[in-house]
Amino acid sequence: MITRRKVLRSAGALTVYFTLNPVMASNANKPSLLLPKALGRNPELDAWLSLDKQGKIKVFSGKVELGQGILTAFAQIVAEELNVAMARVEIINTDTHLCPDLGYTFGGISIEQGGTALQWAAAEAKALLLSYGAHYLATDASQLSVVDGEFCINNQPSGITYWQALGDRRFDTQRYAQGVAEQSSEHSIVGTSVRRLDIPAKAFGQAVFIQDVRFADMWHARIIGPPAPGATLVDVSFKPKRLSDGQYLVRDGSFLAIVGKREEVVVRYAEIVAKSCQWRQGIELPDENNLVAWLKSAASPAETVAQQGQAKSDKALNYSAQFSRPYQAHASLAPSMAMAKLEGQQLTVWSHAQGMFPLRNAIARLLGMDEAMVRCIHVPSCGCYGHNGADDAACDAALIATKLPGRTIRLQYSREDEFLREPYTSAMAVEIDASVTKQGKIQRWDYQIWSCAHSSRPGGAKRAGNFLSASLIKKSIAKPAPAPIPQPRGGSDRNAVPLYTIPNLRVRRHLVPEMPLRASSLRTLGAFTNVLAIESCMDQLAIMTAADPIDFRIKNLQDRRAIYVLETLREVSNWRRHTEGQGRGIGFARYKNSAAYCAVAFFVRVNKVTGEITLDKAVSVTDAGRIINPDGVKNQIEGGIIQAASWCLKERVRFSKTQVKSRHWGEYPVLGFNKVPELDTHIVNRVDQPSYGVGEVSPGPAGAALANGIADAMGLRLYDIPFTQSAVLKALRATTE
Amino acid sequence: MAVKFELNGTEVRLTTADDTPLIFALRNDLGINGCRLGCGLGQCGACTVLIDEQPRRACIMPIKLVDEKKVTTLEGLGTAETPHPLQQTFIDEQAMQCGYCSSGIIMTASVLLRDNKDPTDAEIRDALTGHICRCGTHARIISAVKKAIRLAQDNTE
Repeated sequence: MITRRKVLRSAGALTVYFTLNPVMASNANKPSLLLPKALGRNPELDAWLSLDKQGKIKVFSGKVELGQGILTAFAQIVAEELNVAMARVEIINTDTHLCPDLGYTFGGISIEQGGTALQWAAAEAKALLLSYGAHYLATDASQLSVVDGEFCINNQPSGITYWQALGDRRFDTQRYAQGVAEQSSEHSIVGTSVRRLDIPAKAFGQAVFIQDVRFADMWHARIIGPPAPGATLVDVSFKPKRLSDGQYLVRDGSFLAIVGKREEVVVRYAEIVAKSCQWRQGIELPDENNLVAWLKSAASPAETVAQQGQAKSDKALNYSAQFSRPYQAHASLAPSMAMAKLEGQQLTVWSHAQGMFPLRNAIARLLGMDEAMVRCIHVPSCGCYGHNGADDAACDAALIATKLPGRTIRLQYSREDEFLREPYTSAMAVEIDASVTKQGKIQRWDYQIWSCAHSSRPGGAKRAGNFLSASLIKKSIAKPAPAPIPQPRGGSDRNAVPLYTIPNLRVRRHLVPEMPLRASSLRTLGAFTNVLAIESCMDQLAIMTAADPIDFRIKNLQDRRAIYVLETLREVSNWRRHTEGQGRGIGFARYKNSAAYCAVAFFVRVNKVTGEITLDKAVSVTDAGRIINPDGVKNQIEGGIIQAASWCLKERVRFSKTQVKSRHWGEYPVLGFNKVPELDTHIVNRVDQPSYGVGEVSPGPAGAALANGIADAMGLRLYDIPFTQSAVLKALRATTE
Repeated sequence: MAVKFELNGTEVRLTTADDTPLIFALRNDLGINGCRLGCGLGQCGACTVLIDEQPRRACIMPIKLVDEKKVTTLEGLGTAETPHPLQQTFIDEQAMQCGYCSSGIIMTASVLLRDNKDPTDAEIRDALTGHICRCGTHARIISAVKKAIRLAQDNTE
């Protein structure tokens, strides 16, 4: 089946990159010829693309760079469609005054949605430019080809470029007659590992991050936040409004901030003032050591997510188990920050949040302003992996800016602010009760989830109450009721329905409506826990029927792309020849059951005396349809594997009955350089298939593979994340007692 | 207090409170980007700079301690025209996602490269263990450091 193999040596591991001939690809559903939704909502072509006078093409993508390389992929798409060099493409950061509204950059859908829309827009622009070129050169458009923006007649350069042909016109159309060109492997830019556009500047310390944006009139700000969830500010005994040397104390209800010219002085005052604050104790938190019991007691009645056949059956082998995940943090490397300035009636906010339009609308609502008078501009920061403190920092900067008009306010959270303020991923409990025939066919599957909602973004006017400070200020806005994300995307139930063929299936979810600890989107939402639980169960069923784990999965699958990914993993991972004393585990999922396929094999060792887990190697195979940038895909897959390993082994937000205790890295350890495994990452490129995002594809399979590898090495399964050294020892002791 | 130090080869003078963390002086007074604020507690390594050729955490370094010393940030290591081997290999290996941890890691790795011409895999991992990378690009970073060792040797031969 492999028609072309490019062998790339990269990251110390041999990487095989498969490009599949379209004829051989399964499920050959043609890319949709329907106008992409994002274009339908923003039909003006010049809202997407324009030519400037300097021989560049400006792209207003509406999606934001989060360190995932999306803007490079977009530049590739535009350069490919318009036949220009990459260097001519300039991507403009999302700005609500300049760019189309593409909502959030999240959920691994940027390439699927934003990329497709952009491809359509570029194809239309090319057609327009060809017609202008033909007119200019008094020839027929069919005679023209283009090399780096210059028209060629019968392959001879004409000396006339896009920029000359367009002249003073703009792309004044809302019609998209072109659709997208037939998918082919003829591409020269799309499908190649073009180097990320943003990396050199980052390697040389140039101004690339929001932290590097400096204004002459900029003042620094720090907040003094509630020390515990729900706490309210009773009194600040440090009274003066103006502290000294131009330092200000800003208070609105329980919202408190220090503002001033010099950052170090602001930090010092914030410490002094914080000590003088008296807070009324907040709400009671659940027992951190008994989260499953709390989730089950606080949950609403079950809602059915999927059901078919009879959930009860007997003539088979049964397995049941319960898995759990604690609250875990995004723990972005840089604490969130934002800048804001109120000039007259116009508020401008610079932020690294994931959605500038939803942020603009929510800030406008909170401040009682007209949306048109709020402008949000995206500037990248570090990786966020979901809804971290970025939106709240933007909200807080805006609140301060409205109290000190005419001055740019730069609000920087401390590490502790970020850990205390960011919404975590909800704790989750999962129960599986499944059965399999002696012949190795899954017979029955009953699955239940208990979890808080997985999204509480302050997105848009209706959800402004989700800003942390919305409940602190005097003109407070109530927190909206948590809104579970419906299937097929799903929130807690994302990937809860197995891709395997199961005649008798029931999947239910129980929403925990209260949020003693704020919970919101972390990369993959519930999919990580669901895939880990499903794939752990698959391994147990394989063991019960004495089947090889890969054989067992394939036997219960019908999707040919899924089977191909597993077969390929078996081949490239040396599945049958692992080292003595090493555990091996596999994990597989198709993200959201509708996007990219990924299978991971983890090879691990467990020291039964010390309880230490050593990660030797993780091998992965991913099919994400047509690949825009193979190395970019690899990088995302690899990052997802390492982050999942960190979630599995290390991470847990700690808290007492009243307070969160994880306030710095010492209280929230993550996987480090001394622990990370060797990686071997493989990609299947299906050039005739739609492109899928890959940012959220690997964590589920990687976590599952790791859990299964540990179970294989220990001869004993762990059920409650994180699988720490002490959890290993406790489980081993329990079997010997 | 008035402090005087050498920043990336140029003498600079500043008057500020003597306990001002070096990172604020570098970023807010001297226009440095390559020293990045992470935890402010010396735990994550994002702010790592060289003080008299040794890696130090600028977020917990009072400015009085760099008086009369030599401070090197990422900007002082190399430029686009004459990159340091590590800057070159971080680009070649695409050894970052968000890139926020990269500057500190490159600074620490530059000292490893200077002091140990042939570090083992374990020595590279040990040297970088005080740095947090949250995007999970560790394998690429280790690979970039190894390639920089070879590149540095090629350059000196």
